[in-house]
Amino acid sequence: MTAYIARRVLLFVPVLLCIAVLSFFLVRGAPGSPFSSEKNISEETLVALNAEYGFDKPLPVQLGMYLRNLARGNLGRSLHYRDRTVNDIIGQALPVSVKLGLFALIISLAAGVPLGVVSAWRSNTAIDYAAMTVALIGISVPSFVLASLLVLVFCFLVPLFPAVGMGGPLSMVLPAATLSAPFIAYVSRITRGSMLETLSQEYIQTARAKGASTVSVLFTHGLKNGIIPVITFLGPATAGILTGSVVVEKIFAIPGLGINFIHSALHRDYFLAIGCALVYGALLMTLNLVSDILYGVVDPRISYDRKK
Amino acid sequence: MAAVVAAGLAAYLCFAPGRKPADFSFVLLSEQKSLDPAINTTLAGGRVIRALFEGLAGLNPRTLAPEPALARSWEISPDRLHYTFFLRPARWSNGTPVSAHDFVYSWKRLLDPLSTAEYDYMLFYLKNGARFRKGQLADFDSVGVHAQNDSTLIVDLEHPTPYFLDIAAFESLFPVNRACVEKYRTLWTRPENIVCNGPYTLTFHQLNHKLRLEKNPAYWNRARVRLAIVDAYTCEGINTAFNMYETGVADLIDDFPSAIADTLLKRKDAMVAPYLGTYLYRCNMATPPLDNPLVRRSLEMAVNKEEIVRHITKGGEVAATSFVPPGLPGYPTLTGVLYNPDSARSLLAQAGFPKGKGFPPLQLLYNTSENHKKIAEAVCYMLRKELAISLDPVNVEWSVLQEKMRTRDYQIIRGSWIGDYTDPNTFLDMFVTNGGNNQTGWSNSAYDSLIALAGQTLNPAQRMDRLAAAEKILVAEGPLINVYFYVTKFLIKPRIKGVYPNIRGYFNIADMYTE
Repeated sequence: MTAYIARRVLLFVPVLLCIAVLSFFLVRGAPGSPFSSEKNISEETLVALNAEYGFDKPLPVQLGMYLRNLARGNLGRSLHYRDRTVNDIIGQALPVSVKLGLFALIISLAAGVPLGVVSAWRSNTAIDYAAMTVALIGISVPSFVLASLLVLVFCFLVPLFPAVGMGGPLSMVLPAATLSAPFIAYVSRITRGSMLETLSQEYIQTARAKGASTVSVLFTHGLKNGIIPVITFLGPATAGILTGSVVVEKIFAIPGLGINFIHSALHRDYFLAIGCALVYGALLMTLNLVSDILYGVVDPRISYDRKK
Repeated sequence: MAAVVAAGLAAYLCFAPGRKPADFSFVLLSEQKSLDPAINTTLAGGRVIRALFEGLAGLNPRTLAPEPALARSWEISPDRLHYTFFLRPARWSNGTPVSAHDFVYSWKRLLDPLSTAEYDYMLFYLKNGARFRKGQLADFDSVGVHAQNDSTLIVDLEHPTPYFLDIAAFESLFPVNRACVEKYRTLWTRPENIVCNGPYTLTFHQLNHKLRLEKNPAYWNRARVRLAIVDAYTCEGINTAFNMYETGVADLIDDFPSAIADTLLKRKDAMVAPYLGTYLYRCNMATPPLDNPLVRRSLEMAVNKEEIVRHITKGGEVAATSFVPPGLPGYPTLTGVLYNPDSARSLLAQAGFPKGKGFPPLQLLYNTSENHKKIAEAVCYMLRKELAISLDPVNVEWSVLQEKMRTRDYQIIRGSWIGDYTDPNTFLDMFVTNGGNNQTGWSNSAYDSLIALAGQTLNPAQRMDRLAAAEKILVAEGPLINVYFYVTKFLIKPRIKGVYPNIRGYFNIADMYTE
């Protein structure tokens, strides 16, 4: 197992290097300049800015300088926010996105798993159809529509929650609910599918015959096997929640990484854009690794060791 | 299941704010590039910088007249080239005194050949200021700013500049603390590092979220500051900002969602005033037939600007017939180009394109925004309909638009201008031949000499006459299609006092109070 994890982590390095180099050339190839303003910028200021950020040197030299700094963990200075470093911006924004994502993930599981179990238990009944219709709506409604509806209902009609995030615990409820809606739907559908299969197996009938209660049969005996596909979905789901929060962050004014990613592209903030791409890349790889490891933990038939 | 609940509780508690509520909070619709007075270029950033720092002069929030701030008084020589500022005793937030040497340092920092300040030209009024900046002079001692002693600052100007006190109240000229800047360099404006001399200090700053300002105990005029804690939220979307205002998170927002602008205008908490800004299109002189003034005026006459402000912007904006917005003291408002499709057609015929025949297809560039799009489409539609010419709106990103304007790679391009100081010169001097913000290639020697002459004129009325004569030329022959004059659109809670309607949307947080 340790050797497997070490191999996977070692693979991160070339992948991140590729992301860095590719995004470096992509952002540099974009039209427009990071140093542009509605008012004309004097030649002197432009020369000084280019010198300060090393843009007066040839592109390969700039890439070399960037990679050398990157090796030391230094992601460079923001071009738009002149008094900020990229490390500083990501350091402030990433925890916000992670908190929001964690909150949304918990909601997805807490709502999605029971919903799926109940649907499977009463499959092809009105309860099942109702639950799966709600799930379908959760997947289909775009987040900006859902967010606006939630704000309308819970901020203006029934003022229960604040309209913007980051004010306090309550302010996270609407953004997290918006963000989790499609994932509640996915989780409940996956749970339903796998529980249907599990509940038809013989050991479940044995448990019933022994007189175990419905709750015990469903959640103790059934869910143990039924949850495996959900766990494998967690890796991509967490990545999806973390990287998919861009729209939600914008609507609820949450200062997370997504909003910085958008701004960096619009402002041609080269180093911030590369930094965000690297962080997202690293997140995705880490979460996929975690989900692969969990897969082995919950299903003893899967082993990552080569011998055996 | 228990683990899930516990984790949920833990995540919930992570967000517990544990901060005191603010006495006043407002929304900044964009995050400023920097809180460094020399680097900032945004109006929103200026509001925060005026709370953190104090310059020689400040503006009266009602009249916009310059009044003493850090300088308790000043003397101006009869030729208006020589200013002596007498500084009052004041301290930085770290306890050290603010002196005239701080101004010399800060202004040198702005003008230094290596300075990355975009508003470097704000100090080109100083004697030899531009030459030092361009590296033609190595000795800063020859530049017109000197500290006679700790509390006397001597300033010499290149030309008599009637609005120089207004410039002295501009944020770029505010002092910065040398020890702090040199110790922390790029990161000196972070809350844990910053040293300031204004009514407030910065205690918290999270990018794209909020800034917290708290009363500066070292400020010389502490009694003036009545709101102890102020939050400035950064929020890009005007709809979200409006939600914040409506739900009581923010007490002031400085724009309206345009979809409901007309209903908001009628509300009691709306403060609407003319604003020193013009929404316009530039024509590129290098693109025939736009080099022909008859064609340019024909295009402008065919645009029904009233329709645009009534049906698209809807926030009380004023259709523009000239370039300089109304409301500048002592300056007449010119009645320029009026909507007249018949004259437009005959001008176009005179220019050699009767009924639009032979007129080449043109493109009109605008940057991504719902309103810019609607206006561009309306203008193109009006011109197609009235003049039978082919004009297509083309959407580009903001940074691409700026690049296209800078390299003059356009035919017609959207633009705007917001005055930097309360004088028509902030509008008119930009269209002199090869002016940095001209960006059209337009050149007119009569216009150039009128602007230069006005710059040397000491008599205020005569000076305004010359500027007005210049504007007449610009409106009749210039490269612009002026669309409308902006308005200040504030929504402000009735309990907040000390904000007054004026043509620059100007307010000082330090002058505000609650009832």
